[in-house]
Amino acid sequence: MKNIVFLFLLILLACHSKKQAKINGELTQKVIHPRIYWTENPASHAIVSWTSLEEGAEHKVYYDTISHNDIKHYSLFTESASNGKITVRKEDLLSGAPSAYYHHTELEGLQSGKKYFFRFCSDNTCSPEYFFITAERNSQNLSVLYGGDSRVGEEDEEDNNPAAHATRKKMNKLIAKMLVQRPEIKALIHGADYAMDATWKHLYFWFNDHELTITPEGRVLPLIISRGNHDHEIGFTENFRLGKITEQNSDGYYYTTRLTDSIALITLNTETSMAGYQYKWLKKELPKARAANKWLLVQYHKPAYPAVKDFDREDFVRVRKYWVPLFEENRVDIALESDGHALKKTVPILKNKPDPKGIVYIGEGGLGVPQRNPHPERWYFTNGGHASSDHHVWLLDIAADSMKVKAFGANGEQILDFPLKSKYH
Amino acid sequence: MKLTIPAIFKISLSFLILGIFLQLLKGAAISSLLLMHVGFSDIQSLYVEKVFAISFLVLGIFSVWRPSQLNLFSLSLLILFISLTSFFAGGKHFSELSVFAHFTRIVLPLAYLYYLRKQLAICVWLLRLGIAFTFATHGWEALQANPVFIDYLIGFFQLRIQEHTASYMLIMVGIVDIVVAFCIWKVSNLWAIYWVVFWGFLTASLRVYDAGLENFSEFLVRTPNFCAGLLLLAIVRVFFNKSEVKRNLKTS
Repeated sequence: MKNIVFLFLLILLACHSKKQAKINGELTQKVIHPRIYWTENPASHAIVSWTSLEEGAEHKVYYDTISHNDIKHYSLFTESASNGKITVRKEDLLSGAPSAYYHHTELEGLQSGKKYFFRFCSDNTCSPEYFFITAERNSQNLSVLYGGDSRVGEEDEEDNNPAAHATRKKMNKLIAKMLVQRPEIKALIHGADYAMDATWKHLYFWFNDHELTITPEGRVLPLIISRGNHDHEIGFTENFRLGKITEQNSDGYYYTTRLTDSIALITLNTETSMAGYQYKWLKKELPKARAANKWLLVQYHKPAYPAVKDFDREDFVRVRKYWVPLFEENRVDIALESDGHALKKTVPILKNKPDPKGIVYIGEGGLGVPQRNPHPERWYFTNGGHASSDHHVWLLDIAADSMKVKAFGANGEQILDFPLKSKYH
Repeated sequence: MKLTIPAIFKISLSFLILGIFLQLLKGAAISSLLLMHVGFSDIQSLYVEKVFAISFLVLGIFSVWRPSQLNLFSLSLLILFISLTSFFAGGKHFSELSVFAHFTRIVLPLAYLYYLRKQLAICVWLLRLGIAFTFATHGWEALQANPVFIDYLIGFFQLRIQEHTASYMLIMVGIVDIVVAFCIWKVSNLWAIYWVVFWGFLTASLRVYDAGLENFSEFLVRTPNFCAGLLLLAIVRVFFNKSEVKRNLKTS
């Protein structure tokens, strides 16, 4: 009899726990899509962004350099600087994406190279605790991931939703795995074209899938974002808001990220005027960045040296006409490009010809988007270049004088590996 | 060859067909849609696009060589289809307006069909409709400061003008485009047609000036933008005397 009562109590307890878990699940589900954006000074500044399913009145990020179980124990908090209703149309709701609100909170005055634990709250609903690591100002070494084009992929067998993608999920899981294996990786540079377009029916699932890049310990990999030709809609500026960078100069989204005191990344925007304000800015910024940094990287979406699409397409011609001469004049170390849906590495190029003193262009986008067949026969891929059809993510291991550049396939296999010397002198 | 109205139709149609064919061969929105939405492999989608391109070229040659109701109507439908694929594929500034922006291309084969049938009023009406939609759409894009247009202007002036100057110029361009669209559609104004011919040619040529001769297909596909004006001018000049020009522009 005692055994029966004990068993009955156990079942009752199990049912209660399950019910409680569901309630907690619902509560935490009201604040979703955690992400960190790095902009100009990632050693002291980061943007924490999330989505809430209810409008709420107060949105805050609680953070500290030590982990806490209780929200009250965090020593710091910041109110969200930018909140608003995400533009949602009928078709977005029909796709399964709920009405939602965006929140972007700027954390200022952070300490360089520190682990920051944080939780974000909309009213009384808070996220679980996550953490990220700020950029290390004084370090000469840095490891970052680079990839682009994470839009439409194969249909997801789990939920049969065409907007949720098996390959993209696989790539995101790979990123999380790499982050566990190599905790020295600091950020993911994203070459844009996140979803099919920047409407909520696509972005909602993109942000869901992006959560797969978070490690089991709760480490969030900061994103350094650019803007692509499938990111024109208003959903992009709502959900990928970078404070004043988003607002400035008509369309913004071009800025310099000081990754360390000696490594800088310039992000450019191929979706706004390339010859206007951005060109003037780049002309001033490049010499400054070159003089101050041992390593100078540039990233943007549409390629100067395409692997797949027509070499003479007018937008690619414009990148070569306005930006590439400035890159060459200022001895940029490496250019990161996306858009084509392939894997590429060019030979060093100077004045539109192979030249050992020139710039190597890598990338073309493989974070889940269906791959196209590139043109390995193009002059900039022969004799040392590479062009193939492979999903991939790049790992840039930067040291004082040399950089190791590696491309990893969807199963974590290494596809490409080459060294690079700094052009700083 | 004497530059008769059928000759202008044939030349502009030939340029348009060749331009579209070359763009399809390079890889356009059809293959992108098949790859991204339908689930075709890259090879399959490019193969389908190439087959489509060749079929389009064959139909186009027949339409110019032996114009008939069936082939001219089919040609117009195929051009509409291509514009719709640009709309669905997206990824370009204002791609949601591509059907309206391409309206002169879409109506050109139909205008030729009605010209051959000697239904001049419908022919003139179609040409006016095409010009009005294309100019109004480009005018709207200019008013919205399409960054591609800004770069054309800055490139045209060899980087000697600032982005804000180019933006102001675009506002002027946008207003003129919309006024011209209105004049072509609602008011009888020969100067508006002269402007269509001049501006259509200039803006089509700018594509080649900006991005090099390798981009001549961009010029070819925009031939109808100025040829439609040229045709309109020729038709009203040839078929109607001076006093009738105004009346026919009003009533057609």
